[in-house]
Amino acid sequence: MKNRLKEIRSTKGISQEELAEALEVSRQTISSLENGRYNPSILLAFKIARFFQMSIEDIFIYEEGDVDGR
Amino acid sequence: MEDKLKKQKIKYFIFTVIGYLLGVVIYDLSGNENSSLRAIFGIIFVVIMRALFDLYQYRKHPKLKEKEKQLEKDERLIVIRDRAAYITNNIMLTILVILWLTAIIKRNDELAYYISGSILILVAIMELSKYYLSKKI
Repeated sequence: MKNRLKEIRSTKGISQEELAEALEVSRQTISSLENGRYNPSILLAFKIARFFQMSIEDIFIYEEGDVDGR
Repeated sequence: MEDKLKKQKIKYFIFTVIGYLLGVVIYDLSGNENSSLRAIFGIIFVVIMRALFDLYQYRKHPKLKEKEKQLEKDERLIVIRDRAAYITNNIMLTILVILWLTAIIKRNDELAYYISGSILILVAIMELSKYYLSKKI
């Protein structure tokens, strides 16, 4: 699953560390999400969307044939 | 903060080893020779060293404990832990099966009996956990 997390985070001028702190996850989790190595749970996806005041679909892009990226 | 936690874990490991060695050396120097008691003495020293290290760390960096708790709930780390446990379990079972076969070939019935018992216990725990979790989730 692709996502625009890095782009959105950079636009808002927030560091990985700050985002991790706000979402109560590790900085590596943010890094893995941005690199597409890890797909978030629905709960974390909602937290991220709420943090940026966007919808989940605005941040995460589901494509047909996506497999579990965890 | 996360880097500090990583360094803390390395220090924790070093303190564990030092604590054990210290306990064993002190036990030996006091002229005792019981190997079981020696190990227990080492473990007691490990507990003492780790408790002292914890106390020092959390007084020096009070936010570390908070961060540690936060990281325990990190979903990616939980997934990693679960997968590591699954792989470890599979490797353990494979090793035990190999040992069991070796014991049978070498005609060591007693060892084969204990190993097969261990395999059965492991499989039973795994199946019970699956059953419990499938009811819960």
